[in-house]
Amino acid sequence: MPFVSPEVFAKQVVASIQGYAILSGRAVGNLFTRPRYWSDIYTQMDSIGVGSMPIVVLTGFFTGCVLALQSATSLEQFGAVGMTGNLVALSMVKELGPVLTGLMVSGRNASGMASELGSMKVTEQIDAMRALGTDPLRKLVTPRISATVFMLFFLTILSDAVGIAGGALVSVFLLGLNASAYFHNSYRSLVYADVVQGITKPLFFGFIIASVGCFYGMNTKGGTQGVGKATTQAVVVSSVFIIVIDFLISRTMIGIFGR
Amino acid sequence: MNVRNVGVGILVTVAIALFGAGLFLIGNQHKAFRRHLDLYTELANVDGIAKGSKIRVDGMDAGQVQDVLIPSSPAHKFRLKLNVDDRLHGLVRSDSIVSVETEGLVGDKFLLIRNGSERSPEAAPESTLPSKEPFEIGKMLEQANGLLTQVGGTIQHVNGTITDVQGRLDGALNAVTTTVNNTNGVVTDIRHGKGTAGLLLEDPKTAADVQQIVDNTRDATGSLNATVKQVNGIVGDVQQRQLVAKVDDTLNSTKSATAQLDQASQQVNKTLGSAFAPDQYGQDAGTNLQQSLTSVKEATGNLADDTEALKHEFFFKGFFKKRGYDNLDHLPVEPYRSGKVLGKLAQDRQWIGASALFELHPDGTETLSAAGRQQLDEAASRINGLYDSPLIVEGYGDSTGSPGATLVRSRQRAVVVRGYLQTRFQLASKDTGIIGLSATPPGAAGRSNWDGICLVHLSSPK
Repeated sequence: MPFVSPEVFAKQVVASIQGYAILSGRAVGNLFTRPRYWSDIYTQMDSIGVGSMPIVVLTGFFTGCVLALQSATSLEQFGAVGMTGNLVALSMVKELGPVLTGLMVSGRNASGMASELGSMKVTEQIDAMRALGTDPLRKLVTPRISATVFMLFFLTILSDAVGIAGGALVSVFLLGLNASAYFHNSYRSLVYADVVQGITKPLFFGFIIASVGCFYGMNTKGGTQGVGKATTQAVVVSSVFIIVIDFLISRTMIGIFGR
Repeated sequence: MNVRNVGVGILVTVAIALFGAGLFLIGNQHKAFRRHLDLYTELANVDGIAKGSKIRVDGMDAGQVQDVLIPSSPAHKFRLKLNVDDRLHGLVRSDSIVSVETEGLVGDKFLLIRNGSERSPEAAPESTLPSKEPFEIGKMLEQANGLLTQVGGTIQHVNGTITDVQGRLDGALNAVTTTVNNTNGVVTDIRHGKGTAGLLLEDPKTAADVQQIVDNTRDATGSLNATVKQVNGIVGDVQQRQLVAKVDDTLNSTKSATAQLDQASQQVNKTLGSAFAPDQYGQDAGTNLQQSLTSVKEATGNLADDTEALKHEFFFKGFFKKRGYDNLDHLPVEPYRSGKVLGKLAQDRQWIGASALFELHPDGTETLSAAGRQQLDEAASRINGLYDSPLIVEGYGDSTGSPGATLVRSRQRAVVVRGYLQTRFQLASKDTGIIGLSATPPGAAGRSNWDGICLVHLSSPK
């Protein structure tokens, strides 16, 4: 990796932010203007949503199991094993469900988008598309962003549900808790503010995943080697963004709802 | 194409179904789909209660705090709007108390509405329920300190009252003692059946006054006693109760009891002041009693004079002449010595010398010695019909002294001996007479000089 002067590095960072902001703005703006490529949107929904469902479900389920197991060990010291359902539900809905789903989808789809668009970029397919009068952002980026945001919302709900179910499995069969009491405590501990916080995050995460993946794909340089580099950067940057934005959203929600 | 859409559709449908179910369960838990009742309460310290905090009615989840209105100044309180499940409306009465509680030791804060009394009406919508401020240890200690200061002041007040009462009682008792000493003779007459004095003592006004004083004192003592018992109960209650849970109520009760103690103490003061206060003529109770007894004494003296006069009246003269004497307490010396008093009554005499009877004390007074009492017992036992007819104790003094001293000594000896015989043999005072004859016995006694006493038992001539 070649070293560059700080001035050049700073210019590259600012140019990247500028390019990312322009791409994101135009992609979002395309949502409100015609033509809309519904077929591409459905295709991306299928690819991103249905395709990611197995890893999201598995991740959510076993996260719930581990959470129940670990929290029960700690709660047992206070004689409060019965509170396991509360802890699993709150953790999954407010934090782990959205973040883990976002990271899983980021690892699977941000990399996919970057490599797919990067390949098109290095083989000049995007230039050809533009030469034929098709806006590459409207055709390639906007459907991916809208599909990711839409599907990540539902994937997160699935992840929350299977996470709570995984916690129930461990609580009932390994910890000996009553299933009815577990589920009762789970939803009893939740309030609407928790749910709002849990479903707001995937909207931002989905946008980050798709926009970062598309940005790195659309800006791929250097042939096939550049495609690999763009793929890696897309996953890393989107994952870091997800964590950072998660913190900001959590702080904002606590400020609004007080919890 | 179709398979792809179906997969997306199933995923979205399942997710929406789960989302809807979750929303319903959470909403149902927080009674979002039920009818609600809006109530208000006011707290100076919300203690962490915020918008959305839980509300429970008698421990059952009943809704949440809908809004917290911040007061405009320190003089006002936070006004909380409560969203309460309508199904629990029957338990929420107008006198239901709202308090801030904690779930477990470190759990969330929530508002607890305690069920009201059966007699109170249901709390009206939009009404304001009374509240109980959250418990604060610091405030409790401050309150307890103030209470202890108040109790200390009350005890000092009671001490002052007791000292005051003791002083008044001492004064009154001194006055009574003086009066009793002064009227000893009168009381003796009263005790032995001279009924006019008894009747005078039963004067309705005096008796009513004395009775009123006694009643007032008894009432005041009863009130004071009851209050002390109540304070004892409260102190015991404070010791037994759990300090953190109920100390507010206990402190309030103790305050009330202290106030009652103050009131009772003041009542005692007032009653005693009333009892010993001067009457409408400016005289206190002791002076009044002394004056009454003086009047009794004067009346008794007048009665004696009247009685004496009656004895010499024509219609009564025969009775006393037949009996042979007028009054054994006032036997005239010279007529007695010459034999005119007892007339024809038979006289059984028993002479006992002073040396066998008395022991002389350094202050010049004489009392009966043990041997002297034994001598008197033996002499009295020798008298036939001791209780049937009068007995006269003749006292004789040592003739070596002055005539006056001899006369006084002879009288004193007769008084001492009569007192012993009356006590020892339960002799009636009206049948027991005394006379001091200096050192010279009556002419018919067969002696010209004597130092001691002579028991003269009178009987009708045979």
